[in-house]
Amino acid sequence: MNSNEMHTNKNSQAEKQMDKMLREIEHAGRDSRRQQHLSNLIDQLASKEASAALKQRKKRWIATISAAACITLFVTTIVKLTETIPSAPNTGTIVAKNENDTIIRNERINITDELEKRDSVIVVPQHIIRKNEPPLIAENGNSLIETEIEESEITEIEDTIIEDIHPDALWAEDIKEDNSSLPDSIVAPIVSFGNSDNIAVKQEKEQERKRRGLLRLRRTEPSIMDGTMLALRIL
Amino acid sequence: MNDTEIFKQQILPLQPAMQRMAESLLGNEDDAADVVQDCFVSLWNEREKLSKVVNIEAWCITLVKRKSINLMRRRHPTEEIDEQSLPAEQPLYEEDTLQKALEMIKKLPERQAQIIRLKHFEAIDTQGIAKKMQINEGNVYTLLSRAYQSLKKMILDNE
Repeated sequence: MNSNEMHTNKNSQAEKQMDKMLREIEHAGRDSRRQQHLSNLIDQLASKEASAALKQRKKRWIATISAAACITLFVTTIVKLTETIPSAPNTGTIVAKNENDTIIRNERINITDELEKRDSVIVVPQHIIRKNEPPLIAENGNSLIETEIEESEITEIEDTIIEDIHPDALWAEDIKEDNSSLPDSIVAPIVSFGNSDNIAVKQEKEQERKRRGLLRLRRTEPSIMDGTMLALRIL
Repeated sequence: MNDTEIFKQQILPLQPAMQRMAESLLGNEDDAADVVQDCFVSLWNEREKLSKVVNIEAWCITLVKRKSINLMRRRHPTEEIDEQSLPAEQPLYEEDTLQKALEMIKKLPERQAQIIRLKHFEAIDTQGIAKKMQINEGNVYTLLSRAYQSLKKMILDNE
């Protein structure tokens, strides 16, 4: 090989070497740009995650607050419902008629109030009253009373018991049977009664009451006296 | 340092090696870049596991290999791929070559060094180089030619 050929060879090798170097620089350049791109990608992923985490935290806050609000509302509602449930026998409607069948009283009454005035109040289940029966009538003078009480109220009434029901009190059916002269349309008056200390009679009446499934109401300070008895018919 | 910074510090420098591995398997720079990007997303999503990994580089190379093979299988489902015969780790760069190149470029006159960087490292086209260097396109070719001659001379002188 002569010197020219050697020179050409060297040149050629130097060129190849240079190309190699430039390719490596190009590689390095591409890697650098890709790394920048990947760095930006990581930033985006991190930002997305942070955003999602924030949204999730917000959702949890809203859920917590909503749950707290629901619980508060629920508790408040329960408290209100509890407050509205009467702890004592409540109301019914009284329609009072005299012996001439004239309505002399037609009003809502409070049973507790009535218990203050009367010896006892008897609630008569619907099935005891015959079909097409008129109001139960108290015998005592002008106080002919029909009272109706809503069945939902009976639960409260059931909770209270009259201890002192007058032993001479007559049940509607009995009175009817005993007073056959009364028109069919009338169920006999409940009451006009006197005192009785007869315990046996008391117990007998009590058993009869239980048998008939009648409810009883308690007065806070029981006393026995003459007076009318309020008969309540369960609707 | 937050999560992101730590992740970048650990994983970004591995990108060139991952790129080489993917290129050697797929024979295609763009496909390789896609696979590497996919790997980075997976690595990010599972970054908590990385603290338990002893050799993160090996982990990442294995990951890119798996994903490259999966891509090959998707594209050629009937072709059997013998994983044993696939290349192991690929050399990053020809270190010596790149190092020499960088040293030589440093020794070039400023304008020649700049044009080599713009052309070969940043891959800017002739028009872009002309704008950046505020010369016309004819001068870009002239300057490049001079830079190449200088480099060749340095190579010859070193021998």
